[in-house]
Amino acid sequence: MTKISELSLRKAFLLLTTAVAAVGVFVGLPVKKAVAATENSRMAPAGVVNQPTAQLLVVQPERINPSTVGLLKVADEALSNDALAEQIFSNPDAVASRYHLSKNETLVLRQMTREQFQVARDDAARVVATRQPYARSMHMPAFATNARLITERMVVGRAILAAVGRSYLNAANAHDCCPWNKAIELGLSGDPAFYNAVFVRPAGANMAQPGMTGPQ
Amino acid sequence: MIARHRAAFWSPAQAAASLVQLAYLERSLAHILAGWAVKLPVFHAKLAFGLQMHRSMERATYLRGRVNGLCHAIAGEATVAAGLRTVLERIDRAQTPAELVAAIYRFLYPRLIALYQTHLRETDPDGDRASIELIRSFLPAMDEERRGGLSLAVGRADTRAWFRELEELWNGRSDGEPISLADGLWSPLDRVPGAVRPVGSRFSASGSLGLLPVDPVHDPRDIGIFLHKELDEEYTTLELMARNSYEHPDMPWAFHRDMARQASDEARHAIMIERLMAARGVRHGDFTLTTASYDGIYEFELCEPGSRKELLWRMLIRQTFMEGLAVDNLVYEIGRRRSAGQPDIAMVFEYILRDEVFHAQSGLRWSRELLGSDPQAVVQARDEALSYFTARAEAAREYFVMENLDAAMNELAAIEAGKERRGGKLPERPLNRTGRVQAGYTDDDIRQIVSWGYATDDKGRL
Repeated sequence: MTKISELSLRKAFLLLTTAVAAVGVFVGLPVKKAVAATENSRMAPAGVVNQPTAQLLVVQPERINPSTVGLLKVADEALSNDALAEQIFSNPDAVASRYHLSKNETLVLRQMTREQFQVARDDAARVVATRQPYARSMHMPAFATNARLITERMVVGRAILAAVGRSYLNAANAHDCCPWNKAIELGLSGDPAFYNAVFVRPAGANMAQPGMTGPQ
Repeated sequence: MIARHRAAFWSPAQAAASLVQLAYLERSLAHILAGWAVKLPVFHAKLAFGLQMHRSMERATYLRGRVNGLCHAIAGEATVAAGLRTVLERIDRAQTPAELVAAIYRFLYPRLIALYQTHLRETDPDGDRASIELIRSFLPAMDEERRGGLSLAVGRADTRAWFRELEELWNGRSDGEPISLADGLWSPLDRVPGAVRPVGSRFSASGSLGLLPVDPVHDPRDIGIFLHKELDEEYTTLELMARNSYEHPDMPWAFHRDMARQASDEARHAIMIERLMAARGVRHGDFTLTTASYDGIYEFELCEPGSRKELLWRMLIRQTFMEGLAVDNLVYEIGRRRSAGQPDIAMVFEYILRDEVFHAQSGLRWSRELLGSDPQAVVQARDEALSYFTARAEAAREYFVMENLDAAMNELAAIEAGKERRGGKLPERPLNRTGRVQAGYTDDDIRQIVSWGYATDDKGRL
């Protein structure tokens, strides 16, 4: 990409990324484990509602036990155990062996850095500070303002991203198949709140379309 | 049967008036089908609309040629009355797919066919022979389309009041001011940011990497996933190209022909891919669906909805970036399918490759058209569009991973398994220079895709 694009668009979206993560992960939106869309989100515009009732079989590929329990446990302990944290940064394989982590969990552990822990602590503290004034009136669950839980999830999540690769190109190379497909899903089947957040106009964005027609 | 003994047939002006009406009806029909394909809740109806949109557009084009042939000598222009637009726009305003399908195939088609037959009966069999031959070639296909349309299972509609209203409008089709064929369509009635799928469908989560086949060449299940992903791409591209046409009726006639052809191509591809899937015991919906290539490319925060810039970005991303990658990869894919003893897949991809080159070519052509025929501006605009698009996707990705740690670990496992199978290497992405050049990519276009890392140019001839 050109430098101009890098500086303007990427910066805008790095900010946006943070905002989206904050909205979704740390402001207490319900976790969307299911991949199914809500019916409303899949409906056509008003009036187009007369749909058949075909029920489709869903088969998701299953590889191995994907639980992150082990990684969350290590991250949790490292938050209050500086020696363990240092060992993760200097010798992650030894920690992985001690905690009986799988090969893939070890890959993730290797991505954890001192800086990442610190950034996660700072981010989590900021999120909790933002939430606390509203926590009681909005009946937030206790974990929604638990800085430690938030921090460990941030550490593990960001380490997974680092292990897989964060970029669109990384995603395109994630499998030996159909590079002309989109590499990252961008369907409307997810949380509408997320969709709205992603589509928030970046500050200062120029919407002018010289010489181009307007909306209907 | 043409009654040659008749003393008087239509004059050239009357024949032109009849033909322009037919051309307008066909053009409008293509417009309606283009707008509705994405809103239909059943796949086979989308295929029918994609195929028929192209046929209607082509019939309109041939008829338009005949109209021009009859009007050119006297510098005349044949027009239709605004009343005809009123009835067609009303059909486009149907409230449900069932109402729409009934209006097209039970109301409009019989009347359209009757108008064609009237032309055959009334026009001069020698003076207007070319029109007669055209219409005779159209009618069998139209009859087939009508029968196919009547069998589309999109639900039931009580059409009594609906048809009464349409009949009234149809009777007034000769009223109103004259409108020309070129700019007589109505503006789009809606925006559709998400592709409609059958109720009960399950989707890959936004921000996820979707289905991740580990060995799409040898493992039967992963071959099924590979084909399933490909099928979703065909549907979503059909839908996006159709909306490109529908949402920009004021683009040149040739643009709509291109979009209609591509929608039809994608429908044929879907039929062929489903054939391959059926031979392997896989059905559409056996795995999670994806609509990302429609939903994720339909609109952009940096583009005003319905603007030319939005259209430009759709074409740059889907046609000149993603379909450019298809031009590259299909050649590689055809080779490895042959080696793996899958000649049926290789053959289907041979056909698809032919069309993909045209799709990329069309995307380049119209992108350049929108950017003042400046190829360098296309390179720059693609950079801007891709930068935005990938950043948005990466934002979605981060959100997904944070919200779904276990699912993200599952993806990691699949990626690592694939890597292990390839001996730690990245998937091969060889550039298809011949295909790219045939599609009209410039050296700068090719340099851009290689510099981004999505294709490797071993020959290094840039």
